[in-house]
Amino acid sequence: MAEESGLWSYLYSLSVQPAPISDQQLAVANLRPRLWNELLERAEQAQLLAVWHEQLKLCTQVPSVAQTRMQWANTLATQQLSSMHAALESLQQALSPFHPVLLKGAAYQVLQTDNAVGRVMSDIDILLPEQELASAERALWLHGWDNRGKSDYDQSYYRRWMHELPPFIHRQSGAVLDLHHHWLPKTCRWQLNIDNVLQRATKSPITGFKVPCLEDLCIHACLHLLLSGESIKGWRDLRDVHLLCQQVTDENLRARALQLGVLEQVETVKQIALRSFQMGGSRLNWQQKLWQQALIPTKYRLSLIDNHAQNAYYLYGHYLRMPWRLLLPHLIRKARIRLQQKET
Amino acid sequence: MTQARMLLVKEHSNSLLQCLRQEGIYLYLPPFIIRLRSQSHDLAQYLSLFYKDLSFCLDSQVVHFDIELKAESWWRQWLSPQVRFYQSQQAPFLAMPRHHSAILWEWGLNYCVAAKCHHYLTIHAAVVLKDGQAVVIPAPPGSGKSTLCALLCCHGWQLLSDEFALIDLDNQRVQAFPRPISLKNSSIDVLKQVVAKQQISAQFSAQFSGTSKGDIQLLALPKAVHADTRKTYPIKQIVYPHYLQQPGFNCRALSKAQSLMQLVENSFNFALLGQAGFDCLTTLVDNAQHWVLDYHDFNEALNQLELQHG
Repeated sequence: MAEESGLWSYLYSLSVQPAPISDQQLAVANLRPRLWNELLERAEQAQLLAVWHEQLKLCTQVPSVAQTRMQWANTLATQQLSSMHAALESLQQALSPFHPVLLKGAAYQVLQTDNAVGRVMSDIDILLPEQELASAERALWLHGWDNRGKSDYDQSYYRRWMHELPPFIHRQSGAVLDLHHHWLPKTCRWQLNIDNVLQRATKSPITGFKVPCLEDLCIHACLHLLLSGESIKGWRDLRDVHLLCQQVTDENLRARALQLGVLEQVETVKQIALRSFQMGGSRLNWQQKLWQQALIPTKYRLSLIDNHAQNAYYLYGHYLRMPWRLLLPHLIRKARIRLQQKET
Repeated sequence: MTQARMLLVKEHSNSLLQCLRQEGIYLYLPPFIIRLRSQSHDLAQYLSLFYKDLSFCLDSQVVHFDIELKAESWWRQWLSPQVRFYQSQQAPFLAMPRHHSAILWEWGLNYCVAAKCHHYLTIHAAVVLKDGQAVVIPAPPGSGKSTLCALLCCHGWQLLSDEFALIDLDNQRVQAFPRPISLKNSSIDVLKQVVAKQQISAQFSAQFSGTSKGDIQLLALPKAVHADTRKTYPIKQIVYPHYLQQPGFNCRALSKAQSLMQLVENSFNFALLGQAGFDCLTTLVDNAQHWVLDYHDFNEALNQLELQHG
């Protein structure tokens, strides 16, 4: 069992730091089919299959079926990237009177950060000053982006409590856009001054959009990871944090996190990432260990404990997003809707 | 690596359920290898009759799809037993009643191929074979492609697939992927009569009533009617059938441009494949003949197809 957990750590570390090809060959040749299936499954869940395709492209020891599955993902990632660029062009027109800043996946792709190659994204995230939000929404409607399909409850939930509008879908291309006015929900237990982020954003090289500075991208990745509650993509999110951290200096990152008032959160996530990818870091405390277990389990076949860790992580994310008096009715409502959907 | 020990489904029908319940079976369903786990007695029985000529092994293999049919939580079992389809632990659909496990497996597998399988150009179509050349029958719903496909297979044609044209991106040849044919509503009785008349040793499943597509029965054709899955085949014709309620018959050529547009419409991954998909489809269309076939009497349709195919 200990051996297996070591193997997982090694596989995870391969996803952030390509090992010499001879080491890779050796590791990959020793993977039994059962572990290959498990690896492909976890990578598929975390949307990292195309990243693995890139990572192992020189490796000749990959079984052909595994190669096929990674190629499938790579085809999808390639197509997504080109539709993202097409969508950005359309958005540039729609949002030209405003001051949009790209976040997350789109920003990584435009900046070609170290985590970008093979990374897939389900939507485009854009940040706008809050006072521009209402007119930007109308402009998007005129350009074929629609966000009116949600139920009344969802609509008011987004508009009242969240840091983003209900997601927009482009009528023709089906592209999805999240329009944010903040990184954090209005009800979040942590708050920061988002003007700081908007001010330090700079024009990106290949599009007309602005992008946050690298430190801010990194900090946002950390906060998103703790707030999302989605452990299924934990591996990818930790990988983002780790690779972005490598692109900035420790001093700059700490100074910026301190300025935004989220140093503790950034340090926590950074530590988990360092440990998970075997890049040093100090010992994790019990809570960090729990998150690690939820996000990037090192065991074959998830146990009940991992399930509990994932549930705890989900609840923690929601707990951070909202106070209990708002959260409990919301979760109950969600659960009820899910049950009703099951019944039909 | 040592060669895995291959077993034939029909020779192990008694132990199949036990294997499915434990570590699962590694099923060779060319061109795919699939790991399948399930607690369902119905599914084990269905596989042992409807996939009886396939091989599987118990030693783990790297698989294209890791599939599990899992019962819903215990308190829901008590209300009405439901199963759900999981692929890599992800559940793309709603649960279905337990006795519909066979349908859930078929639809689930269709989903996997349509959603993931991008080393082929995938088209929603029935594909049949004669004299080493394939006819693709794309499927606007209600056109009766499965019925026509099954009827052709009862009259000397071979089955490549009743659901997917899997087309090789490099040489535009179509891969055989024969599975049971899913017959809906009134076409079930039509096929039962034909199968009896032609004395074909085909197998009909129990009826699955009240699914989202109506009443369904699955039809397994004998092995000899399945095309050789180790091969790929050139596409000679693309036929758009339309079943007429009243007697009548009309077969006319369709322009390549129109056929191309219809194939694009029926493709699962044309847009996703970009240039490779476009090159493949245009070459394929250029080298095939295209027909619209309005028919009421199947024999007229059969004669026409064989004439065009000769």
